[in-house]
Amino acid sequence: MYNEKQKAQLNDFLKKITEEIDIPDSKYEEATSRYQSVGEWLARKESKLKDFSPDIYPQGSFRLGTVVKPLNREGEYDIDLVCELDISKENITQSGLKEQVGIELKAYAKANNMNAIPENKKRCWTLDYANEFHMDILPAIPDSIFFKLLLESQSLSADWTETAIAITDKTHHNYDRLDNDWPSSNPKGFAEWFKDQMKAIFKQRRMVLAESLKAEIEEVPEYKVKTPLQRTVQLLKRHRDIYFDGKEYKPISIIITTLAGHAYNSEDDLYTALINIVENISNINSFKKNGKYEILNPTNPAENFADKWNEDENLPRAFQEWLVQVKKLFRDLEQKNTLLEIQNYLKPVFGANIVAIAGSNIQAQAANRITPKKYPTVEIKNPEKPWGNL
Amino acid sequence: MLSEKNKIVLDQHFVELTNKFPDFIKKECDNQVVIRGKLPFRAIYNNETIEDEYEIKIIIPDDYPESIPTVNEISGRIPDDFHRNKFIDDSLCLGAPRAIAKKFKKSPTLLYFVEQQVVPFFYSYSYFQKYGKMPYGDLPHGGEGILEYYKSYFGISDDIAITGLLRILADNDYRGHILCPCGSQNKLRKCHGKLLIELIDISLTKACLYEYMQVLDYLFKSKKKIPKEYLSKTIEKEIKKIKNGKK
Repeated sequence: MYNEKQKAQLNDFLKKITEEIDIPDSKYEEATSRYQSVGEWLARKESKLKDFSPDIYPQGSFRLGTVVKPLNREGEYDIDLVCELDISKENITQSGLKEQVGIELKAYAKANNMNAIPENKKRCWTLDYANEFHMDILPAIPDSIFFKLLLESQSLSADWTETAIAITDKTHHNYDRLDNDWPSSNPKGFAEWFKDQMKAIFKQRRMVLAESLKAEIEEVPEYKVKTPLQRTVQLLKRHRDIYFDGKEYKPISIIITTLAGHAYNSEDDLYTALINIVENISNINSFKKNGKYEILNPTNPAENFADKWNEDENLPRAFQEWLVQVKKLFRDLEQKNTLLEIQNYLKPVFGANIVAIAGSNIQAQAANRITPKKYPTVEIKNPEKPWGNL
Repeated sequence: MLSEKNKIVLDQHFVELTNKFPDFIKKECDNQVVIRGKLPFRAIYNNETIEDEYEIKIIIPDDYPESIPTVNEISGRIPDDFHRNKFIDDSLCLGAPRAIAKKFKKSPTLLYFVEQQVVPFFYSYSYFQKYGKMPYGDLPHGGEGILEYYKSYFGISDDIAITGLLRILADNDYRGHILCPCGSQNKLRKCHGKLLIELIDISLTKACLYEYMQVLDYLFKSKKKIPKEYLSKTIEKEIKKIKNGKK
């Protein structure tokens, strides 16, 4: 069993891994300033949308603080955004909304000499900032009243419905028709729910960060605060990415995030949170209700994230098998004693590069802690022509 | 044994060295001066910074600072087969013998030696560990590399011809009227002699001998036949001495 020192070391190591797979603060800030500039463009005097209070805000992992580096496109992050306009369904169709937003985005791309023109996807427009990010912008309109009515009509209720939105979908039967029936979503609501699952720890971490920065707690931006819940979701997503690389039936992030959110019990250290969460979510039979898999959106009980599980048995099976591996991984990790053993064990699982960098960061940190080492600087000029390998 | 004059110079150089690298001590062992200690560095080459530390032993030659010191690594990180001076004392091979001796001559102090000749060696090993390749480009080690270097310098592709030219440096007996080893049928002084003369420096003769020996070793391994006139007289003399001593 782990002693305190080993546990602290492992926690530190896992934390360093999440820091490597997370989006760096600098990139986060850059993405933020980019989408804010899109927002300013939509609100400018010449904009056809300026009278509809255009509001651009982040959604998905970018909003939740659970971004992980994409496996294959080195360095290109996916940033999910909502572009909410205050228009009524009586006055516009889904296709009309999509098109109007598209016109302004194309003008934006042109005005900013962007190489790629915005791509028209099923539900969103994609802006490609070459080598930096992909921005997926989802046109939407507010929809709380309709949404509430819809839930009530099904005898369901939910919290956080004030922020519900209606969105467009090319494949929807009403795409070109003036109608009340649009697809719906509630990214702000989901984020509020997720934050609520880690409320106490979030506040405490933010306070600790504020103290270390000698700032007021309100001055510390929320995105700089990371809780064990967020880090667990990141590690699970990364593990999943590598485990399912080249394989089918990869579990979707929203399922992992929702289940983790439910299972998190304010654990204060990452390793314990990981173990407990994985233990909790690995019995998929507990998700069955009346013989059907149900992982409901906590802010929209009419939405079942696991609906595809009921169409293809391979999906829940792959999920279960994957979790068995994750459970085994963390149990075996307890037997590893040295940093080197941990490192070698985790390399194939989280990616050799990432783990190596995390490991060297730990060592650098430790070295600095023990004795502030003085390394005389030497500038190498005209070194002897190299001997190659023997 | 170092002369009194050289001892004073060495002491001054040692002070200069320890100002930057404080973890070194100087000792006298079996009539030889040895400097040992920790060599931490933060070395930058081509914008790539590597921080590392090794423990080393520097042996001061009796005619310091006329001759370059030799260095060995005692922290046990460098493998036995990574760039060693096989013929001499298994010390670290910091480069082609003549080249490093010449470089040391430019600024014959301990600090320069450590900073510009020893650290780059360890930097390249640390770099090799990190990236799997050597930082300063690539030449084969030992005799093969020396041959390649001189082939390029003289513009000749024949190994045996190069051996003939290197023998002249090793024995320090340049004679312009002999036929150039390159086979052009011209006199040396009218042919590659001009390039050869550029390399002549009495103080580097010992280093040239080491280079020549490495080339021979490589050629013997590749089963190449060396013409008798290209075998070094100096080496022959040494071998005779040893044989006579044994009698």
